Amino acid sequence: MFLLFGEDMIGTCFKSISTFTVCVGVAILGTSLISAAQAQSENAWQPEKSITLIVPSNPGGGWDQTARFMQRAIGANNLSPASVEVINRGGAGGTIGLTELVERFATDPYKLMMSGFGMTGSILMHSSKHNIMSTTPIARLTSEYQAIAVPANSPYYSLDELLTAFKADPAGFSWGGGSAGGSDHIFAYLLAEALGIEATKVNYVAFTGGGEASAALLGGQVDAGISGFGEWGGLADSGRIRLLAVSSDARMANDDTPTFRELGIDLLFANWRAIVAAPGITRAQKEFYVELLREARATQEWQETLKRNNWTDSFLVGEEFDNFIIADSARTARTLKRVGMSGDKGTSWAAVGPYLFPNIAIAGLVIFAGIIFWQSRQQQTAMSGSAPIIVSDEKRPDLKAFGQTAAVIFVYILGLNFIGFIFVTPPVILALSYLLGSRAYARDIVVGISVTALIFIIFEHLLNVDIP
Amino acid sequence: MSESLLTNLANGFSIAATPENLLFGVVGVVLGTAVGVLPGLGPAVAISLLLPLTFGLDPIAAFIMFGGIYYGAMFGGATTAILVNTPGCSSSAVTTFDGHPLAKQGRAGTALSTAIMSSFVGGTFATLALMLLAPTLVELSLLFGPPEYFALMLLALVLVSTVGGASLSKSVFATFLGFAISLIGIDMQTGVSRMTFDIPELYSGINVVLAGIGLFAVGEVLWVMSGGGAEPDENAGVRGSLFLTLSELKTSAMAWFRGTVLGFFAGILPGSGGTLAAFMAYGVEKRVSKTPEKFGTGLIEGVAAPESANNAAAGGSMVPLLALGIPGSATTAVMLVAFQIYGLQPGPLLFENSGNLVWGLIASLYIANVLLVLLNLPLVGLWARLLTLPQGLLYACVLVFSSLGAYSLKGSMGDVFIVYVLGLMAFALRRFGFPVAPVLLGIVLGPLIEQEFRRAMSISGGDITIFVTRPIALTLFGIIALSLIAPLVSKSRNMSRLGNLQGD
Repeated sequence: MFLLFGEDMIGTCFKSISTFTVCVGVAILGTSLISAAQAQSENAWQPEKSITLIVPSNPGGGWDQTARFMQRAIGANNLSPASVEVINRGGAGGTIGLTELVERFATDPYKLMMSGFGMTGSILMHSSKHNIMSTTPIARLTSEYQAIAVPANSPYYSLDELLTAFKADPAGFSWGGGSAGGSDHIFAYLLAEALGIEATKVNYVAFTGGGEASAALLGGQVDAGISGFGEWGGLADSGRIRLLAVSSDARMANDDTPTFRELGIDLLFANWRAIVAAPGITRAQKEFYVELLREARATQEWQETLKRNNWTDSFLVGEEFDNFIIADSARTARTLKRVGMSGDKGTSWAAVGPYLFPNIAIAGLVIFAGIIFWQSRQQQTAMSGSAPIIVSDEKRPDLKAFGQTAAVIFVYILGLNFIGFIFVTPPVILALSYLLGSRAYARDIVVGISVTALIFIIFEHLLNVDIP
Repeated sequence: MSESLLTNLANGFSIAATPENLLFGVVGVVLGTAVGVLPGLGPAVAISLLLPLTFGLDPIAAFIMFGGIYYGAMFGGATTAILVNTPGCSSSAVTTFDGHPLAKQGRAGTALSTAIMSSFVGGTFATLALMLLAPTLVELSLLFGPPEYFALMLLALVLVSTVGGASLSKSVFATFLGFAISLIGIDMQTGVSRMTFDIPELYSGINVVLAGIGLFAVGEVLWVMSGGGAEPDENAGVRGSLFLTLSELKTSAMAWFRGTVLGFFAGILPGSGGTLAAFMAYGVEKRVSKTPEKFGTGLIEGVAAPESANNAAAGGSMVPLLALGIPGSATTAVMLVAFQIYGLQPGPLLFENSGNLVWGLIASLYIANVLLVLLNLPLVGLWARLLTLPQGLLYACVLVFSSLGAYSLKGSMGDVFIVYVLGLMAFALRRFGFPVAPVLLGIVLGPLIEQEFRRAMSISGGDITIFVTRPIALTLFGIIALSLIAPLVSKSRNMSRLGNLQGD
């Protein structure tokens, strides 16, 4: 099952690459017929309105940071004729944002999205229809290496000591990091495999984001923590944690944490972050963004950002970048397949499986539904069946009015989806007001239109929140 | 020590209190109140939207604005909770319990003033505690691991279980319903998708914000539109004094105290946040009250406790952020990014490396709080007059804003749909006499209880005794047992006393 999926994914990647090559070929053929100067003026594309950079996670994470620092580098140096706006579209490890970009904004040249290693894992785990090659990759920006940390009072002073304990009792040794399927989690598996330990035995405790994982490590709740090298920064400097190893091929600048390779473990791992665009943009549009990011990369702001966050500059564009994505996705796919963690099958080791609590919740619902039913029967018999049961001390709702309201709301949802907010809102306001007994049509129409206009101005222009 | 503290603080104020910074503070409070009023938009969204605009600013100007947004949003959510029974933020959901009945009695002005004063007290004292105790508290919070969190969340559930007001079995049913809803989506520990029926829109789960909009705002619109709500008095909004009487002030003072302490601690612990703080403060207030049966009918302390708690939680969540660089909520996660953009690395070394900025930030939190009162207190009368608008228009606008709020979270119509389904569910629950609030409680607490339990079990390697071999966890379980037994004991004592009386 998984194998099929993996092949399918890689197949799609190759297909889109060959389509791309054909396009490029046609474009080159076309331009060679016209004079070079003319081609330049026709092919050069410039944005005419603001560019939206979609962050497919909630505010505060690595993608969010990268996007906002990039926005700053572009804005502070006036690199783009149009401004860049950052919006968050979190959910399902980035696959919600990916689906939106590929399907909804298929040919929109004004939409960019953050992507990277974090998305490969979730694409596989959630059996997403699309992968990173479904978009138009623009440039890889940074790589962040993973580091293993222990709290200051931990008995482990070297990676060797830590791994001895891990090997002795894999299930009894707990690793803390971000949520399942993310880079921390996959790294734990890669480490286990590099040591010859069955990855399914890894006792990985997932926390909501790096912050909670750091707190758990500091408090000694888990034996070791996995996170990006840069994220440990402040805590390592102050001596509250010790970094035992880092997954880069050479030591990080101004830091004496050894690499895995130095310590004799063949493990290289980078959590890369990149910017991609909609699948259907033109070659000229892609060129514009490649150049924009190339210029942004050279700015002082961006270089400072890299230094401060301990991110490694791994700028990569064009075919090399495409090939990298394919190779990296394939490696992740192999690992996840080995641990049986793809296509919603989940990991093998968890002290308490994912279905215990849903079962408790459903059992609770059934039991209490039974109790309530029994109680109301009791009440009914006590009242000798003549008086209706008083179900609420509030006024009983009128079901006809409810039906009418529900119908208006249903029409509103459909309208929002197919017609748009501006046209569907005033009539809905009028209708709801009418249902509550208002007959001042002129006033309601005026209010409806002005409220809609006001919301449109506030949301679209002041808050930059797009409306349907 | 205390002298240097004062010097530091004075220094901070001298950095923060420039006319220009005050102006940014005003902008922050106004904007925060506005996003607080709008369902769906919270402080996290507002700050990340404003972030690019602050790139060119002095860091202190930006922080004072962010502080204003954070505190302003907490208060803004209460405004709509009181006036139209639809909390603008999920952390104000509890405020509807007594705030809206007060408004129905024509005391909207009083309820709003209480909310403002509570926010001020909660925010100010939390800032004070942040300043004095941050390093100590953060060490304390690190003692809390998954087993302790699990015990704490269970305790919260027990404390709050009586919030609904209706029959116990119906409250429990509603809590389980919320619990079940909260488990929809991808499991964090294993990556398995649960109860999603292969609908991608459900993968990221139904979060507290969507639940707040759906259960309360949409549910309320449906209820009122169907003639379920009581007709409000013609001049409901303007009757009565806007301010609190002396005796009300007295009862509020104790509620403020308890709410602030509780909220502050709830805020420190990462991941729990303002909504839980508000629920717990209300639950505790009801338990210590001499007249618990009057809760839900329009008690001042029913507004004072949750409102001081959610603002105190906002202050509390700054503790791990500043002291360890660990964000405990969505808003502080965005603030962490803001810090980093200004070249600050929050964490143990922040106070040493950028002391001036930290004291400037603390001073700006105080200033933001004062601005909140100064700007909003004069507007109370105006807000209360909203109620004199024609009902149809008012609720039509609530519906429109709810839809937009849901949509704006991820830009997906799927979320709008989810919100309406939850609204229908809330309507059905109310129609059959079930309380709606426990559903939200289940949604807030469900994931915390589940994840912490499973984390604890993973850490112990599957050994359940981890919950009783750790002193803090054991103590918490002891408190849970006591609070479960205490009402039974007092009940049976009352019964026997009653029996004696009848015997005489």
